[in-house]
Amino acid sequence: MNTKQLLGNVAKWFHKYLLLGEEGDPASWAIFLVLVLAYLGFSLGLVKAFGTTLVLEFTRYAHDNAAHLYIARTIIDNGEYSRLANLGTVWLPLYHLVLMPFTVIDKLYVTGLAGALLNAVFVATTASTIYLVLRGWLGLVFAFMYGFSVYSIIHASSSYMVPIGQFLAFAATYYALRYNETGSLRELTKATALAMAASTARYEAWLVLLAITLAVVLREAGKRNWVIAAYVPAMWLGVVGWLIYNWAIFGNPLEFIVGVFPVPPGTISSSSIISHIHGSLIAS
Amino acid sequence: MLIPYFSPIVAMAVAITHTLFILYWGAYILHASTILAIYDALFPAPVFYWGLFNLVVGNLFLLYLSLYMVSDTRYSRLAPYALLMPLYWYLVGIIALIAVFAPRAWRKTER
Repeated sequence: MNTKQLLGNVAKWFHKYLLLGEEGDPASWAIFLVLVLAYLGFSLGLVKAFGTTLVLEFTRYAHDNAAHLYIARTIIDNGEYSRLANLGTVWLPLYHLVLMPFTVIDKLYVTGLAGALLNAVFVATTASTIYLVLRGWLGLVFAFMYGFSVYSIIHASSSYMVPIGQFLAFAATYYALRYNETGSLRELTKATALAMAASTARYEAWLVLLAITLAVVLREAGKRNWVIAAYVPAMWLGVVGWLIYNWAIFGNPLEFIVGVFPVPPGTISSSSIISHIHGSLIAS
Repeated sequence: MLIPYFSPIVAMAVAITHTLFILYWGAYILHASTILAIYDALFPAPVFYWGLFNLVVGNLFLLYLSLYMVSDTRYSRLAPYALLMPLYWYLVGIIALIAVFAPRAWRKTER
């Protein structure tokens, strides 16, 4: 297997598993590979020059970089205070849960590459999903316009939360459009699962959820197709789960609206590894 | 696709988790502190969180998988029942408990 085939297979693999069975085509694989390599190159360049991608904090745009890395790690590596409640409220939990295994590796945590590795894949997949929606030259142009915009590059090299939300919301929209074209309920199931996941990643995605729900109801209501009743609640399970989490941990299902602490106060153990690393980061 | 290999493992993990959670919640409701103490000793944080992961992610995975499997088939009218999937695992849990503690009470098919 030569390098070209290997890269093609890697891109196909990511498409297949991140986009729930959508294999893409050579153009979408090319978009994915070009963008991932560009983002990783930029991130590694930042690490070589400054020792960490957290310097992106100085752009005053990705200023929550360190906080997201910290929350992800504090769930499992905070001495006696390690607990699920450290996910806090305000910020939705999915990104921190996905990031968690990567932040355990000290090298990835300190350099910020834990977030950069994940986000590079998420932003690149969003770009190739844009191509898959539009297709043709228009798709290529818009995918690269999105992929090489300054914000996308900053997102892809940081541990910012936006990319996972965008990726899931775009993927859900892609399948919702396919369902609209074909009427296939399997496409709708994929849209449902992705929209549910998106709603646990970013609050903006709740609007996408609402839009897909309205589209589905308006499309099927006239046909009196009651089977559709199964898909709408399945879509809102993430929102319901977030309300239950807030109720269970903070005693108020709407704590994420009124709460002020992304992390509950008094949860930092002075003996934990993270406090040492943060101490040395602040000192440097 | 990994799903054909993955789903039986997920199903077993979810069934075992539900069986254990029935006992746990039963003890919690009945204020059975001895059983709760045994649970605390048996399930340190990593094991507890693994169970919680199965409870949440396993259920969602199997719910969407069931929804996907009945969609676009002649059984697609059964799709709303896929939402009852989590309840199904509790029933499996009750059966498992009956099988262990009162095997004679198991109502076998009459032949």
